[in-house]
Amino acid sequence: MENAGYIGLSYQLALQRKMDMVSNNIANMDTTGFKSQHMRFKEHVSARDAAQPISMVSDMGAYKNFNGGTIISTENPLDIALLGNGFLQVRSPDGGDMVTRNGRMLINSNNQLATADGSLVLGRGGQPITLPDGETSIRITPDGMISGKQGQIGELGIVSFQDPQSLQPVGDNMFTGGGGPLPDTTTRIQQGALEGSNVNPILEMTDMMTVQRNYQSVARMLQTDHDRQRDAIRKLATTN
Amino acid sequence: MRSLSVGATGMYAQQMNVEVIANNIANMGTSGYKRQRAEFQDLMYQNIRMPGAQSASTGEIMPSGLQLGSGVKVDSVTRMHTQGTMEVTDNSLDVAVNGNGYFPVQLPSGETAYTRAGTLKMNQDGLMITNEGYQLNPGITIPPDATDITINKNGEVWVKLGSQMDLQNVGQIELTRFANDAGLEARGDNLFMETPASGTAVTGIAGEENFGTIEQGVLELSNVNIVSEITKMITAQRAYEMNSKVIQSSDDMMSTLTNIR
Repeated sequence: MENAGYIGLSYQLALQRKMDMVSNNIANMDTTGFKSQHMRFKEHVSARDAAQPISMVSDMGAYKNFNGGTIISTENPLDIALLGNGFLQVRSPDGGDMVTRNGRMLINSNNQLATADGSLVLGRGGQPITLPDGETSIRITPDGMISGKQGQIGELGIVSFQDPQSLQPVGDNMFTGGGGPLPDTTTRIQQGALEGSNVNPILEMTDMMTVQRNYQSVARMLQTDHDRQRDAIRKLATTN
Repeated sequence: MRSLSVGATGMYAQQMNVEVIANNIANMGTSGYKRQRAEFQDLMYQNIRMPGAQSASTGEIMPSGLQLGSGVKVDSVTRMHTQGTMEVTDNSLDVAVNGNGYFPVQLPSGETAYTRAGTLKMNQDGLMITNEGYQLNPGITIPPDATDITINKNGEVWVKLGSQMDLQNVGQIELTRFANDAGLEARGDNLFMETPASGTAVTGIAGEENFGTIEQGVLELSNVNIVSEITKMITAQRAYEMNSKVIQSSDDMMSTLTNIR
């Protein structure tokens, strides 16, 4: 008989997580290569009493929006933007393989291409890309070939995934998992540009308002249910 | 509620963004200044549900997991080493690099710094120095009886001595290049220092392959594009407001909770 309360509670829990997700999207409005996440709610039927099934709500998962972000021109030769579904393969300092859409590359003390947090950018064969000493004019072609004054240096290891939804964000603009990475040849690379965040602030703000209002209406519903129970007790259990 | 602190990280990051933009605007008239850009990264995620986990009731496999992020941080501030506006000053000791390259200057500590600001001067010994008094590396001395100073596009310094007809070559202004200009460390006073991230300095002659040319009587101003900075400032301010709305909204949700009896 207390189902109304539990149904409301299930929705409030789900809404709180949705709010957390929306706030993370808004906070990352300017994060290079960020992909927004959106909550998926699911009807969760509790069939204890088959004649009167109760539908709760559950936040079954989140899907990542892998649409491209805005392309920001930086004119830095080591900045690249990926146009397409590909990811840049990197190896973190602790040896873990990850992928990223953040194409801001630097040169580390071993003359290797690296990301800002020290992860090595991997080439087509899964090896780090080492630049010749004193190389000053780096050109990256749309198909990922890196060349310098003395000729070809390497090729960026661009990969894509059969099921990109199974990629997990781990922070620092990186993703892990996703099953086996497949070599990608369709993604185009634009040198001297970065891919901005694909968060749509207007959508997120409206989402946030909806979450807040829904949360309040559930609270009101819980309050009404509570009043109803209290009234019932008062009216039915009057004692003289 | 996580969203409260997530909103706070967003406000903090946007505040730093505005600070970077403010520094760009403040230096819009600084010769040789290169504009900066704040780079953001997302913070770590908490796994609520792993992708590929099975739903308990039906055994169906979840197509996607549920990871909640914890906000944003400013990861670094990169510098855009693009060409700045060229201003013709007609001052024979003003030089600008048209293209790639930095003037190497010798710091009193013995280190070499690199600059794009070519406002050269002469000291009492005739040495060519920068505004701050640092001499060019290698040093160039202008003889006291020199009357006309000509610096050609390759950086050779020619002077006319006394009544001599022919010009004399008194030195060569060298240029330096880096594999990754963005990795240079800014020292203030328009100076940059070599770092492991920039790659080692490569010295060369202006006009040679991959080096720009030297223009006499011209100064390179900053590469700050004021319209784009103002637009970025507006965007940053709006982003700041949106993050504060997140905090407000989370607060309202919590107050809704406390008002349930």
